[in-house]
Amino acid sequence: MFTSTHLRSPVCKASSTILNSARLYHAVSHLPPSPYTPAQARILSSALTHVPEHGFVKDALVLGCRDQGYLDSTHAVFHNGVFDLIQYHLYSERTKLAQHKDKIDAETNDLHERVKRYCVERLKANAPVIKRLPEALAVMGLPPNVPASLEELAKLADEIWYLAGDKSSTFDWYTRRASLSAVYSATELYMTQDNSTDFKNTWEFLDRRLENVAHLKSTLGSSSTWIAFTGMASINLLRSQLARG
Amino acid sequence: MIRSLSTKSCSRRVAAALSSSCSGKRFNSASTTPTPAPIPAAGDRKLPPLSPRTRDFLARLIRVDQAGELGADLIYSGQHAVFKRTRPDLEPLIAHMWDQEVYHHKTFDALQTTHRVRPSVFSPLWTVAAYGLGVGTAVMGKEAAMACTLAVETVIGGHYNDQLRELVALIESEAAVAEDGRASEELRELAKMVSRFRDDELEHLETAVEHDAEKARPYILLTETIKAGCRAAVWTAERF
Repeated sequence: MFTSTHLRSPVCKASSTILNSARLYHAVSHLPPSPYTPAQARILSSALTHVPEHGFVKDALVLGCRDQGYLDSTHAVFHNGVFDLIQYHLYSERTKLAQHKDKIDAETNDLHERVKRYCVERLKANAPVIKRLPEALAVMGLPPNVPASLEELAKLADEIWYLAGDKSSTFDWYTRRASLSAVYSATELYMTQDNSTDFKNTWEFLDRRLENVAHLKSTLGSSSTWIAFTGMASINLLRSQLARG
Repeated sequence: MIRSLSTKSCSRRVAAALSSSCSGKRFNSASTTPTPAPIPAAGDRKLPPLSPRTRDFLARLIRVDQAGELGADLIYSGQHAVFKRTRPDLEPLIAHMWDQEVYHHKTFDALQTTHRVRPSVFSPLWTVAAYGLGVGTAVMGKEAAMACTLAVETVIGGHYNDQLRELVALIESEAAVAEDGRASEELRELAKMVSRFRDDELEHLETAVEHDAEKARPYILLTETIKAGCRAAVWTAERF
């Protein structure tokens, strides 16, 4: 009797193109649209509590339904099965990042330091399920799930830059998000293999990756300065030659 | 040409939709810094989520307008770079229009970051093309530069008008279902801004006509080419 329409929503579906569905207008005086109905969110959060023990598997979903007083078969409303559970984990941890904003804003003014802090917070949220994460990454890498997984990565990178206070409004916007996505996914992968206490090695790995990106950026910055300078110098040379006749 | 873009058709509805607060106040941009995008104070009521269609429309609006103002900023910057050497008498005029465009550009940059809209992928292309257009037409002479302004502002002004019509309809439909009968501050501010910028663009259009834009040779070829280019850029920047 519970498996009825209030559990279904248009959301649990593989999403469309990365460029357009991820970048809709963010309203400040309207509530953010939620991709999950309250019932779905309750079941999925209960299911997540079973992930450390059972992993990202159907059993966790079934237990989540049971915890919330639904029939075991209710898990069938999640058309993508385990992938829906994984997406909910990614979605809820991403939206929770905003809770750290006050603390991080108070501690540092540096944009890149803030980005690092958000990355650390997000990665720490993986700690309880870290032994199960490789399974999740494997499911995310299945061909039908790849677009939605990449979109979620793009949304995470955007969330981190937005919370950090990024004001880039030209092509920078893309390079920043792309490089952060690369750094984040590499670090996440590293973290799954990290056995050091409190993931000490992971934080060092993250530092090194972010430094590489900063270095690359300054190289690009100086090359564009060089191009502009050389361009101006050539024009001036040409003008002086023309003036000499 | 100016008449065909006349603001009358939608000004009455705009005025009604935007209520009283900004009516009649002429906007002086040269020395002001951009107002930050309208962010309601904490504790303000939150309206129900916008529909995906509306969010898509607003995202496109901000993306294309940001790209457009980036272009306008750089066209005048290119013209200014030339005219300050060749025609110092025109320099203050160009500088005035350029100042307004810089203000518009900064305002849309602020809106883009606040509302988390993705900027146009082609912004490097717009940068180069617009600066080139500015320098190119200015080198051709005063009339060509003014014809360029005329063509660009005709397209941009008309495009702002189209957006304003949709925005006003959106505000009216939001107000119709709101508890207190008022649409969100956010949308009303956006519409006010668009209508103010539209007026600025049409002022530039008039300035261009007053300064012999129509005497440019070959006038039709020049203006129609630039207009077609602008329309293509608008189409692209809305989507990519």
